[in-house]
Amino acid sequence: MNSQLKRGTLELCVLSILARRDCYGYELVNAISESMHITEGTIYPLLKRLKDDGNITSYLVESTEGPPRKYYKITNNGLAKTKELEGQWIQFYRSINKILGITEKGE
Amino acid sequence: MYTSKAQFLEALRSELLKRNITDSEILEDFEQHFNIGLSEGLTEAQVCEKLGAPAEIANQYAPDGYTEDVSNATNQTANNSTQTQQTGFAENNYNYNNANTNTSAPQNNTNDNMDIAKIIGVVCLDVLVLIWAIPTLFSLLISYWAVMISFFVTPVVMIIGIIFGSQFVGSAIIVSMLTPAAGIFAALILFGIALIMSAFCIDIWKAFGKLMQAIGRLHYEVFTGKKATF
Repeated sequence: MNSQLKRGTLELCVLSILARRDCYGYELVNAISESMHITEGTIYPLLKRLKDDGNITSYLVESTEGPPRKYYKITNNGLAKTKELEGQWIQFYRSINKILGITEKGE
Repeated sequence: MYTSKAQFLEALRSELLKRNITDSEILEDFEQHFNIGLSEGLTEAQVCEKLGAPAEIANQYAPDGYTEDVSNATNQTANNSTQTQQTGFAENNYNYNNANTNTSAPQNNTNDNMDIAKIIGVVCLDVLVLIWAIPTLFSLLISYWAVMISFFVTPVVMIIGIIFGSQFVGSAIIVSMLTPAAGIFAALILFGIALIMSAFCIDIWKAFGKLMQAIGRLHYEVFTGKKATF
């Protein structure tokens, strides 16, 4: 799969998951790699970038099994960003599908 | 390939160091990733393999020409020389980085002059404009409400005055200047204006609030360099 495409959509995927619920890093990595083949380690730099941009924040949760776990949480900015990226994605795949002659159900 | 957590973390640390990145939180994140992976029954080697190449990961932490703009193909093509080609998997090729292999401080702050200009700009804005503009705006908003309220109250007083005559002292002055018909007419006009004003009375405060929020965000971003989350 085109890596540019993956790069652009990975951010959307991460934000979209966090928009539904807070996750810790490992959880997020698993959730995405279930559906898409990615280099798992690159999720963490992406999370850091999202945090620096103010789209997500993190907090620690004490764990009985070891050191506190870092959970990530989406911010209002992040929610807005998610909507923006979702819109772009939908527009994007619709135009590509159109060019490829793939019509959606009901069209 | 790496088969132990220690090997991997050491490799990652060294790759980060090569790019002048010393944020210890990064290694902690991966340490935790290993811990959880192991607690789920994976071996260290398995976790290593799934994580990918430390060099590739370290690249993503480096300051670079990474842009949101996916159409910016130069990000991809310029970067042949280094790192990720070893992985061989084209699909794993997260080439955020471009030819900027000159890694300076982790802060993407080659624009120091821009930052100083921004700070000066904001301070000028504060001292030359905001210091009078904001109080003025605020007073205008207060007086808007004051006028609106008085335009509601005055007609009521006038009508009462007209009905009860000069027994109602406050209205005597107004009423005596106008005939009852004119008085009612004037009262209705004021009341009408007040109704129109009331349609906007909350919106103007909301707009003011948004303006203050925008000003707040501007100051936060210019002075701390971080994106505001409010």
